[in-house]
Amino acid sequence: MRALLVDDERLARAELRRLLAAHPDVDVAGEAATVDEAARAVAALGPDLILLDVQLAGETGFDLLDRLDAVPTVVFVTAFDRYALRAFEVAALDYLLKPVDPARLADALARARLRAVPAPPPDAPLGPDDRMFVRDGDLCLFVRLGDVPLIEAVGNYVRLHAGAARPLLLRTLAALEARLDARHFARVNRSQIVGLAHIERVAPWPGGGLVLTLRGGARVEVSRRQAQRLRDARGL
Amino acid sequence: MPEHPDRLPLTPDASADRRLYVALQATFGVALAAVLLILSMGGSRPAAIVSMVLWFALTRALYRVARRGRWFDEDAGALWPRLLGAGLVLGVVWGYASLVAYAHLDGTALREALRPFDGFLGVLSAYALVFHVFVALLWTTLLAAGHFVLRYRRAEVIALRLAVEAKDAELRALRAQVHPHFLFNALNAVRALIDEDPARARDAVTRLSRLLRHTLRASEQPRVPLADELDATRDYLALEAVRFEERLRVTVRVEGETEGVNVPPLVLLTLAENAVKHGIAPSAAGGEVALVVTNVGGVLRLAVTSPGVLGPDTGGGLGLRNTRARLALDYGPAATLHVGDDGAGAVTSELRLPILTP
Repeated sequence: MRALLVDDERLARAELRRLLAAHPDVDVAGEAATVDEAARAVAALGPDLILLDVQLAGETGFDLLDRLDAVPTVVFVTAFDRYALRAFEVAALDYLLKPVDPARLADALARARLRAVPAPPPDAPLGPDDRMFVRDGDLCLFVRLGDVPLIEAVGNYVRLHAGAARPLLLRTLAALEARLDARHFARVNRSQIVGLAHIERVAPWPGGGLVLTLRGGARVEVSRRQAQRLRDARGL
Repeated sequence: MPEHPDRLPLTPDASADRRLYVALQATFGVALAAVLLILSMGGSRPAAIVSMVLWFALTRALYRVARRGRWFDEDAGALWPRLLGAGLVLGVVWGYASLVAYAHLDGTALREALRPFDGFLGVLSAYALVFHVFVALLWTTLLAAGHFVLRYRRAEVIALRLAVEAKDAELRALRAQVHPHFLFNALNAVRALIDEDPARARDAVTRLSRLLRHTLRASEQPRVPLADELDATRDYLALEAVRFEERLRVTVRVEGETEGVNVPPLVLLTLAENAVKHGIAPSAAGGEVALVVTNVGGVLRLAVTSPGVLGPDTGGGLGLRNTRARLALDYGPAATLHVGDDGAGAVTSELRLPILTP
């Protein structure tokens, strides 16, 4: 695994590097002290894993994640205790407490190996295994794109349907559509994108359109123009 | 030594009770003298004087009985009937005695006025008696009401004092702990130093131990020597400098006599923590934290300057709020804590304290 270390303290990064030396399969691909440096490093190195400090010289690790289209596996490394972390609503995310316990680090790396997904190269389309970092109110989530049946335009934002959560992303639907892998996602009308794996039934609709029934029961109309494209592309 | 809120009374304040009584007697004395003199105009002044003397003797006796019997410590339900009953008795005795005095010492006006009742109750005039009883009841009513006002104020003071004490205990608990975030970051940096620079690692452990000892002691003592507080603050800043490296530079300047000067524990440390938290940690470039301690004319000035710009919520952080509350408890208005922005990217927290010697 290629890892990126992000911490605004040099000694903290040095200590992590030293701890990671015990794990020969983890290759420290780079280090960053600020959100800017880290964003550049992610784009340049495409790491599988980010060990990320929560507080970064006036910014936070979340600010970094907000800037990434798709995020690799993230393990937070922080001196905050569990209760302080609750303020960030990331209790469900993987985190290590400083000073890092080598045994806890080994556990976290084992989990990371199981689900490690390299961040795709900057211009590669995002597929079902890629994950986005989103915030739903105060709640921070990593959403696997394969788990998203529906994406809707809401003004300049898009709303992801992810389980019960409906997080908003500051991106236009067109911009997101351009980043998504067309083999897995399809624009069905002016304001909606559908995850193709979630389509349960397809029915014709008067006037040449289609009606899709998604798993879970949601019904989505496909405009005639988009229906034609779908038929051509996928033989529906 | 400045006035300490410990001096606030927790027990009933005897002097306030006394003042209430004296004020009541003075008011009634003047009013009664005027009324009695007018009533006895053209008649016997001696009878009016006898009546006044009787009034003061009887009310004083009643007041003494009430105080001895601790009536004023009773609930309203017990105090009112007792005091009003006593007032009624006082009024009847005083009225009867006064009327007897008028009858014997005053042969003219009042005697004439009382004549219609001669056959009814002897010298006793129903009207005059009612007047005397009314005055006596008014007096006891005001006395009781005054006591309730005093008691209410005392209760307020006690409630305030208890609230302050609870807050103080809370502050002590807060002061007693090193911020865990700081502690774990410092330990993390020290662990990194063990390989990299063992001598610095050993030094950092020494400083951390001293700092912990100082903060533990702070929870037990209301005052510590300024020199100790200064050492602890230096240790703290040195540990933060281990973490922040070139992002944190520290300067310390001490001017004037500081030997034997005592301060509330952790006041300087709190200012330094704030300086690092708001001036250094949020900035990738970091900067300088400057401590200046001066003793000028019996006023100790502790100033900590760090990079930054004050936000709209000036000095509203928990640390500074606690420090302010503590200082208000210990020194009242004699201590001030001011946080200011020089407009050129530096924020200074300045604390002024009257100098305390052991």
